[in-house]
Amino acid sequence: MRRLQSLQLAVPSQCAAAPRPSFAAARAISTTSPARSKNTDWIRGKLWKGEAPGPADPYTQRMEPEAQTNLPEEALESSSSSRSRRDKTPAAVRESRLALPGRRTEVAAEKELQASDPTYVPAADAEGLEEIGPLSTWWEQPGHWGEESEFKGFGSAVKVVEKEVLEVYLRRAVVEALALQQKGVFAEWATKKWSEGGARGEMDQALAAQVEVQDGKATLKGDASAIAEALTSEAEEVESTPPVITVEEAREMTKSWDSSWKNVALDNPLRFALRKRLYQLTGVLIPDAKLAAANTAKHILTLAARDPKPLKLAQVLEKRNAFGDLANVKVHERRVGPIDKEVAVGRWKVIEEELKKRDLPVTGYGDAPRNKERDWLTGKI
Amino acid sequence: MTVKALRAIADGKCKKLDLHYCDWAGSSKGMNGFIKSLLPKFAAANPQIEFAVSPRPGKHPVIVGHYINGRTKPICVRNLSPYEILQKVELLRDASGEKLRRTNKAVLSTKPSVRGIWSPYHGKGMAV
Repeated sequence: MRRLQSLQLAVPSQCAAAPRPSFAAARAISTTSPARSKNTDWIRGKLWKGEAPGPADPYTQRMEPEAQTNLPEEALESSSSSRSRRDKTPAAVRESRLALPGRRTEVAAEKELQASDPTYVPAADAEGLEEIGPLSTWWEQPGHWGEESEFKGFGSAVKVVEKEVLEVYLRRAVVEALALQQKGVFAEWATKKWSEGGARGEMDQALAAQVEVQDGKATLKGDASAIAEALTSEAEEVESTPPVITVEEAREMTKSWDSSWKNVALDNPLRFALRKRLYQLTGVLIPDAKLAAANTAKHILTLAARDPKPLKLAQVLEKRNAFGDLANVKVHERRVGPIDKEVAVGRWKVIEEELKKRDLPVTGYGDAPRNKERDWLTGKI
Repeated sequence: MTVKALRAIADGKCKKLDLHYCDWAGSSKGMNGFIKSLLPKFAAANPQIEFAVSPRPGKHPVIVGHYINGRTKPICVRNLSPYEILQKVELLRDASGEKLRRTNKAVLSTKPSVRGIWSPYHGKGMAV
């Protein structure tokens, strides 16, 4: 007790009695007394070697009042409202040919209209009004979203996976690029869209040309002008897909060529053109980072071709006919689940019937939520 | 549901072997090799046993033996070589399906009590 008393005595009574100032008030005023700041002037002078910049006490600084304008109130109001009502539609959408739903507009009230236009007669029914339907069905309405608005990618939608077929297309791309180079229009057409070349004849024409490579330099022997013509002539493109080549066909074609054509050295424009054309014809896009390392057409082919997916064990067994004559072995292609087990003993149709009779979901949980307790236990939630 | 009458006619006590593998996982490498190379011969040599080969994606390979006493015996064969797996399959084939227990008595009886189980409803009853 004695200790406590001494403690109370030690605390100055005025400090305990005085109410604590609010935080804002504490921020507004400085904790440094003016007398103390006077005392620090000499050290500021020494530090700055002369007149010290800024206020003596940086904590008493106040926010500067907002910039005053001499504009009338109406002008201020209109500028703020115009900013809020600004059209936020992206420029690309605004400039596209899409039929956008109308913006909300405000019309004058009936009284104001009558005041301004004495001949105004309010409508009694909705006769003659245009029906536009709700916003939710806007894109379903005819003319708003059709075939023309669907996205059409540059690359072929059908991806070629077989290496032999890829090689045929790559050869075609090389021949076409060389033909354009020979005609002297390569620089112009490198970045443009080449004709898709849907006709089989165009491809055969390009593949018939001979490519001779010496020290990486390729020369084209064939009808270069016709190939270049076919690539560049069609301004109005008719939608077509590249001709389909079977693997056997491609294998025969690749065998008939001398493999030296793949050693053609690539410079940057040619590399870019081949990659672009290969993407257009086959849908295989070589990543930028890998493309830079490709110095010949052979490298490009290596980058574009993928190993075929390995067969599943069940497929291998079926191919080998490993258990062909054994009656006691059954190979399943897919996982044998609980339903498969019920089907095997002929109980599933009974279970299904009974579940349907009780209006219960046959598979899954239906509307019921998942087992939350299990998630709690396993620490998912 | 196990048919007890089979006990008399069956060659062994193992009636079915389930072989589960995974196409992707490395722990199934030996199991896949076993199914491809050794299982055809083993299955031909043991026609009394039914073999069911099925994938179990994303899980370790397992062989499950089903026995005529209604019990099952699963063995995980992850990272085992085909010949090690063959030993496990032979073990399952030769097993009786009973629980493993130590046999330290010369005689093993299926009915240890000659008098049978005690019942309150039989006998003369007891005066309290």
